[in-house]
Amino acid sequence: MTFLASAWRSSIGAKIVMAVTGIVLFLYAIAHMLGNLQVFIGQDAINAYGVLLRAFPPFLVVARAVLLLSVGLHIIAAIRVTLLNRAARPERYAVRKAQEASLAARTLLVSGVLIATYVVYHVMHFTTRNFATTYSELHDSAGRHDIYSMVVGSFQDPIISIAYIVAMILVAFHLSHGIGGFMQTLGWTHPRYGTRRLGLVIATIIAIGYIAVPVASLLGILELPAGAEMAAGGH
Amino acid sequence: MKLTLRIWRQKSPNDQGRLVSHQLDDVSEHMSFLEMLDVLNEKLLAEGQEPIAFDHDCREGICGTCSMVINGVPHGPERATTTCQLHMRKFRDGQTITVEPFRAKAFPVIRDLVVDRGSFDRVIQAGGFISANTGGAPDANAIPIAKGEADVAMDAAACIGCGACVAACPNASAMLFVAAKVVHLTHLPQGQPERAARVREMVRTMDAEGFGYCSNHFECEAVCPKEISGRFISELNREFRELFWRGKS
Ligand code: FES
Repeated sequence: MTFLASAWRSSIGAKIVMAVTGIVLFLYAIAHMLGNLQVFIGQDAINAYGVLLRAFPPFLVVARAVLLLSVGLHIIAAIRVTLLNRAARPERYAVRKAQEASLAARTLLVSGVLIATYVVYHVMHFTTRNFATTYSELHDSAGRHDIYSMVVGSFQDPIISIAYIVAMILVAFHLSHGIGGFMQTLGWTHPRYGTRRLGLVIATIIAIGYIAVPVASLLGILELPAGAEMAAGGH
Repeated sequence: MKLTLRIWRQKSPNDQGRLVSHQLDDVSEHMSFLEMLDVLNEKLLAEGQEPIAFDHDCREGICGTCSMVINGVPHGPERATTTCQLHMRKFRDGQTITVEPFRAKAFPVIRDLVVDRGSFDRVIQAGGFISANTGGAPDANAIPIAKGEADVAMDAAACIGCGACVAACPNASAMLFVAAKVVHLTHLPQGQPERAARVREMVRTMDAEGFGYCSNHFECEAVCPKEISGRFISELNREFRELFWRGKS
């Protein structure tokens, strides 16, 4: 364990923590997006997926624990790296002209804080269901929790949708630097192929995958099933 | 050319320091940036003022001494060029040029534009060397080295240790410098015996000297007068990762 401690103290070690936890969250972002996209297959598919995720309780416990640990370590490493980096340049330049650093790279901390804030709101909305519950507690004809109606019904509210879309753009923004970053940090680079463009491409795909759901709900491409509105209280 | 120069003046390490404006009316566009500063210093001396202290040595782009940040960019606006090789034709008549020292905790200002880059020397002392037997020089080509490996080593060895990477990095990180030195020796047979210790000790010293952490902005690569590639940083990370897995970090 001493080598773990000294690795954590070293600059590259802290970066490895940043990268590995970032990858966990990145993979989760992809998995979550693929899960969401099942609303396009239909009510039955996504509701069955919801049952499947809960079919084996230890899986959910472990997945949540890994995610929470990753979020925690990612934030702690970010705070530590930021503070040390501020200390490394105590005096600012009067004139400073960035040559290469992208806006996403320079605002990583800001996008990270905003995303974390949104995630708390998002979990309270859809997972612990503390508010905006009009469509949250419905059940389908098979007696399953009606995730489909919860998602589509919620996203028919433009405010909920816009907040979500903005948050997903921030996620893509964060990832556009983060993906190239973890590849560089872990040494997964190739002399001939750059990693920076790749990050932007993958991040854009992820953003589109997420944003498709609220957009389709707003445009009426995804519709509430017959009876859902009645069940939700006749809105 | 007429120029307005805003130059950082700082009497001593503990002095507050400030930007001071100087007017220069008769600058030839064929002058190098340092020659222009020489002319300004002549003028200041003639007026009985203190000349501007700045570092320089070879003035041919190979020693890495001429450290300054010109209009927000270390070594100024021209890519792949040291300050001493930068010419005034890269500027416009009537332009205002701001000149500041390299800024980093690990590069404290000594006076005006002169900073102490001893931290780089200490990083090199920690591992940027090989151990070799003394005696007669070995025969050339006695140790075969593949062309590809030699090319990478030579590209990395082009680093002149000027510190522009640190000056440009938003985090004042020295990763590009350390990476160049590590990669240079890692790709040669002579660098193998101390390979692991070199990475461990150079990174440790780099951290202890107060340089920041790399966050992959690639500003360093953009300002490097020798165009050292940012992918060497990735290679240093890879070397470090190996230590980590083997529990030697
Ligand atoms: S003075 Fe030697 S590189 Fe500029």
